[in-house]
Amino acid sequence: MTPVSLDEVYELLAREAHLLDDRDYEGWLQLFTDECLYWMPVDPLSEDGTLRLNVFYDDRPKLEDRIARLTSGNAYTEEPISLTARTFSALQLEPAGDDTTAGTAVRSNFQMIAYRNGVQQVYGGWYRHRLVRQDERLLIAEKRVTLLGSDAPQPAMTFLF
Amino acid sequence: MERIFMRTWVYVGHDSEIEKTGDYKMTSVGKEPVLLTRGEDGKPHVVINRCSHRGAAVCLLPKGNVSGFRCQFHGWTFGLDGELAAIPYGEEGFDKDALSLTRAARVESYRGFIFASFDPGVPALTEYLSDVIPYIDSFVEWAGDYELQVAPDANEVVYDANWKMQMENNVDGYHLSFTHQSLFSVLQRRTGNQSRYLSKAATANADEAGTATVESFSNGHAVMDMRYLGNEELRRAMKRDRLDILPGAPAPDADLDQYFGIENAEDLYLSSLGPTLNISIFPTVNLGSINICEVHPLAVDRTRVVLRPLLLKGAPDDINRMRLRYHEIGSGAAGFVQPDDIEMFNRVSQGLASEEVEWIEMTRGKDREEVFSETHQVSQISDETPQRGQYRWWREMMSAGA
Repeated sequence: MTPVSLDEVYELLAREAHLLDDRDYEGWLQLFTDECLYWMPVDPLSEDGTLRLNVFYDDRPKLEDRIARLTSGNAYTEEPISLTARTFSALQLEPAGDDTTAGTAVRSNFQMIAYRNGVQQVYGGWYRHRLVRQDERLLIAEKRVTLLGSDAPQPAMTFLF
Repeated sequence: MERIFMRTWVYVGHDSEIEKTGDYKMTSVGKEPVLLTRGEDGKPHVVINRCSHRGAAVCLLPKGNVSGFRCQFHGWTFGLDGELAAIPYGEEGFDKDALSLTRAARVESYRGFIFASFDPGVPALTEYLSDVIPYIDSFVEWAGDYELQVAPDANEVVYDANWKMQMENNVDGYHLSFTHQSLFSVLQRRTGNQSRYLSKAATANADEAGTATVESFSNGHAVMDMRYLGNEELRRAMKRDRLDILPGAPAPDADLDQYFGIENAEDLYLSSLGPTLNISIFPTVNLGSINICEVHPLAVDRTRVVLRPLLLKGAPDDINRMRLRYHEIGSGAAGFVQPDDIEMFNRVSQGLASEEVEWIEMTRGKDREEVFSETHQVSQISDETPQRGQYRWWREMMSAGA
């Protein structure tokens, strides 16, 4: 696999951030592999989500369900819609595993403001993206969102992180 | 808060949350911050999380295992049952017996569900629960001999409306097809099958809805019972449909005994949806799906809801994994169900800000419900029988001694 550069990763994550803030969910989905995982554990320290409870734990079909629901017009927490603006920083790259097919793990910090119905919420935490190259394209195989306060009472968070 | 929460049994936790001596859980009874502990005597104790000295909270972490509680302000220590153990720099002049942490007057449990009361005069817990006991039994026994185990994590949400909104909602069969339309369209999209519980008015109103019912009981308890909706074959197919679409689910044609490594695995797997029975126990706990729903009033218009999924002790990991995946699809701040519920609670709060209009309408099914007594009515799934019962009891408690 062609080595992954910090510039290439930055470009991918920036594109991802803008697609999400633009609510271009179909475009965002295209950044993911078919076997992807998009998840947020309830316990910020949880290493593995399979046998623990998560705020969300989506494989590709469930991620498509999530987007279908959000855009259905019947997900009432999105009426009126949430507007989001996110930034990310402090990117660090490392091999995602001993096996080169595991790809590259990217750790970053994020902050996001979500605004809806006169209320502004601030979210922050860490992203961990696992990126793999398929047919020369760099794709997201896994995105883990560690949210500060994921184990505390939260209002609805139906927008995407 | 005083007239309801300080005068009745309030749910505080499940046996499996405080299995060993020293295990504790932080929770609330109305506005009282309390600790549920497993004492040296093996029994559950409920004490107010407030040092008897200068009032500081003696415990800050939501759960754990401790030998006792030490107030970090001036070092006073308390036993698991709240007894004052030691006062630093001499104990002369203090009546230690009178300075224990304040205890709930009564703590009793039924089938692992622990309740506390600050009023010593309440009837026995089993008498308080009375009519809902057979439903609690069914809920506990749904997965056969496996004991229920509260999962280590819980989904928590907060909404800007009254606590009663969540309690009404747990036994509201009417809202399902409307508030949760987006969930049903997702299910339909994935499974190709009509997945609504109530697809048209005819089904919602007539006997074709099988024996799905709502029922109102004494003491403000209520039940929404979909255990026998349709027929056995349809129910199994519906449950399998919902499991098949979950992340990491076994393939629809997989040999389940082999996959899970046990015999009759399909029955246990299908029990991952729970009994499709919602049991609303006044004032603030609901047993439904495969979770315990704790409702914590924070203010007249602010409520915290904790949904604790139930696992099966000793069941294969893959069974418990699928129970968690099933729970996640609807629950929590990013689930496909709960956000739309709390959105409606918030909207009701907004609407009720109107002072010009005083009353709401909650009469659906009043003429067709079967009345067994003043405190016991049964009706069809979309009727508001449970809500009328809840508010009758609420009014009675609020009026008593007013």
